[in-house]
Amino acid sequence: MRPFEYVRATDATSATAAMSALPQAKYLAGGSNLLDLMKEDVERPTRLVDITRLPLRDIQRTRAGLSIGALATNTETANHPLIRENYPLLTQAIVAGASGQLRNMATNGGNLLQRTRCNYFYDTSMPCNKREVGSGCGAREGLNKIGAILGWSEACVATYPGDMATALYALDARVRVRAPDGRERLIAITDFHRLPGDTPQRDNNLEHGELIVAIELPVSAGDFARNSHYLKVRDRASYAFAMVSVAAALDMDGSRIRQARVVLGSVAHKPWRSAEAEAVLVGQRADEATFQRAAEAALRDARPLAHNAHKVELGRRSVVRALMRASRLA
Amino acid sequence: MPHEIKNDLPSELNADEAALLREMPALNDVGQARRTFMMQTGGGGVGLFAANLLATESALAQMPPVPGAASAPVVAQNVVKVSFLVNGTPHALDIDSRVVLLDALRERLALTGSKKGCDQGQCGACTVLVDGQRVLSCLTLAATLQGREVTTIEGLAKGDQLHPMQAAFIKHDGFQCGYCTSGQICSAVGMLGEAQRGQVSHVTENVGKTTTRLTHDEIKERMSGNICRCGAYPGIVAAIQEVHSGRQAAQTWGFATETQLAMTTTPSKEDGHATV
Amino acid sequence: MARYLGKETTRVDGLAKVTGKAKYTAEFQIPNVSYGFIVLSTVAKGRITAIDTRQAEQASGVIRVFTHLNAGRLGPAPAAGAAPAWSWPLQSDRVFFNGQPIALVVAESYEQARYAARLVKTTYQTESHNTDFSTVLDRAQPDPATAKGTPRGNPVAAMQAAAVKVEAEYRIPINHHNPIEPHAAIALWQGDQLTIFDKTQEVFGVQKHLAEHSRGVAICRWCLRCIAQAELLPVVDGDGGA
Repeated sequence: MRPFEYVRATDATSATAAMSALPQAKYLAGGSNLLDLMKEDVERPTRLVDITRLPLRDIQRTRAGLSIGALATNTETANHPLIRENYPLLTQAIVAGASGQLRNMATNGGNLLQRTRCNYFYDTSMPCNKREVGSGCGAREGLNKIGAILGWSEACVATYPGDMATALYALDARVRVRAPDGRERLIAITDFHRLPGDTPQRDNNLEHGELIVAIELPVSAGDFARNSHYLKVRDRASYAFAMVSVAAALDMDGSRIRQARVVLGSVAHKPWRSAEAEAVLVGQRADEATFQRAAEAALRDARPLAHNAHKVELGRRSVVRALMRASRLA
Repeated sequence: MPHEIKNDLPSELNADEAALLREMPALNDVGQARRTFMMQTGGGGVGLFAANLLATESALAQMPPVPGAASAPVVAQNVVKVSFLVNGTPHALDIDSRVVLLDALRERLALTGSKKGCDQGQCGACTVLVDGQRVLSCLTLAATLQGREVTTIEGLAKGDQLHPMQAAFIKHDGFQCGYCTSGQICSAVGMLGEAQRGQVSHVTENVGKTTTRLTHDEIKERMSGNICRCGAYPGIVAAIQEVHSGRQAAQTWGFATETQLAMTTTPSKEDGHATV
Repeated sequence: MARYLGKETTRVDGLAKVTGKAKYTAEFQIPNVSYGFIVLSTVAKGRITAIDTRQAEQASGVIRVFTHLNAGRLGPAPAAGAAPAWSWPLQSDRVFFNGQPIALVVAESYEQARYAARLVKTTYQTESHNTDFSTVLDRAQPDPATAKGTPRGNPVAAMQAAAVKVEAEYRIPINHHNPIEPHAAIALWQGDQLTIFDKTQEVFGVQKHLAEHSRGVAICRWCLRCIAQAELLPVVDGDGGA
């Protein structure tokens, strides 16, 4: 861990100022991902701006829906009555992730910003275009079992491993972000994370210094409350990243599907919302055959790597199962 | 059937025990010392076992530094001033900004009860309570704790009175080597607080409703952030379940009865199957 | 009526362990302790062609950086004509496995030692390595030192004569026994007496090993105490040592 200057911020203005003043500064909230990466010498900030005391923890109704503070912890968020009752998909996704201790520490903002767990990214003796532009991608021809099957590029095959964001993609969330000049903007969650392309060093579309202040859920996302399910498939029963996960949400009229959301996790550089699967589902009867067709559509363009072909079939079956559970057929 | 561990032991060795000790004369002294330990570790205090360790350690601590020993001028960098409570005692520290809570406890405050198992948030052995919530001290920068209250394993007992979770771990044999134990106990205490507040988990059927009753599956899921290499999980779950429910866990085993012992036959040697 | 046999008894070390009072290897409060951080090789096989410790040595709090260039002789001299093999650390420029210790940074604090370890710059001349067991299986032969003399029975004949034959290949991944307590050691010099707090089940073995083979450092066995699970100072060993 490199020596760094520690700054305690008391308000958003001074926080963003301290951050934007230095290209190698980083915000510190829960720190559960950042500190790990600093110990591995992957992240090397020269200044940490501690934002844990900023008043950004509230979870409350707004005219537009629900506002979830960026500094609310995963535990607080998952267990908040407004979330559990109106957006249970989000609760399910959050409690599927990490461990009790980590959920107590992790903040919503930090959770969105968590970095890939690709082994080559973590190992500073290995080539990694994300960590070191132009050094190559060790995973592309290496041991890439946990790599992407969708949306990858020759420069990077890493996946985004977070559960919460996968559910947020299914709930049409927006991320409220504050710039150093005080102005705020809303970023649609599906535009928050990036595909690697030839800029894998950029995980997301935040500008340096911008501070996430809240995640907002629209009222309409409540239409999915009754028929949603987060399915996480992994090597062990708990406390492990997903091999594949699916956030499935249906707005149903009897047994007809009015609207659908199908998002796959751990298959790409960002949660993978499948417009193709959703198009198959809309207007159809909820039944296994329909779900199979949706699953085929979701994975049709999958391009597996040498060691992760299993994710394609697993992805298909997981989409089916998640939809079966969401529709209460299983 | 439910049982109590009886700690009032008969004062005499029986014939088998006496014979064992006679056959192994070299162990007599060891046996003697161990029996002395056993007699004295009932009840409160740290027990003779730990008392010996601490006495030796304080003897070491009296040693003066060796003259001319190599050292570097300690150039502290990025010093942060931070004050927080640990087990009720206020501490004001000047620390390198990189120091995590785990190392502040172990290296600065000589509170070595919290353990470093992986130093990367994967094992849970470093679990402590901050403002009553269980967190991983290896991934918590000490500098961020201004004004907070930290509780470690050393702070759970009240003088000679063990915390119910500590007593339950002893009773249900929730450990072998003991290295994960501090983290398990702190995590369990924090976890039961979460359950009391009605928090849900990955195995909760309906997250729309809160539940305060924990099944074994719920306990295992909620404790999944604490691993145990010795595999003492059944004892750990039983201990936690007892503290949570206020009821004793049912015993699932028993000593063989005389009848059962009589039913076993010695295995016969098969042809061509000499033992190694 | 037996006093201990067949009775459930709580563990004698239970109280110490559940209260955090039990001391593990790295936890003995030795005054003026400094911290070592090991630098590991990042190649699986080859030679270190250069190891530059200047930046590490100049980092705050660093006392010394040891490499094969300055560590002194440890362990027995290699037998004449024997193929080079891994035995004691920092004894040659050869790398035998990925993650092999190639330097030790000693500093006043853990954070300073850990950081300085990242400043050690190493270049290697790598050789091709093979970790695929199946490619060399046909060259396998019994180890003369430990192989038993005469095989028992006649497996070929038994297979031929068997009424039912099952032939299959089973592969299991390698298993590493990894206790949760990390390896640790504290070396305490008092004049010419060395006391080592070590994570081991074999206290006298460690003592013998270090005393007999530290040719560059004069330690006699009587001056070297190894404290782990000794009678007077029971130190709990985090799951079965290694």
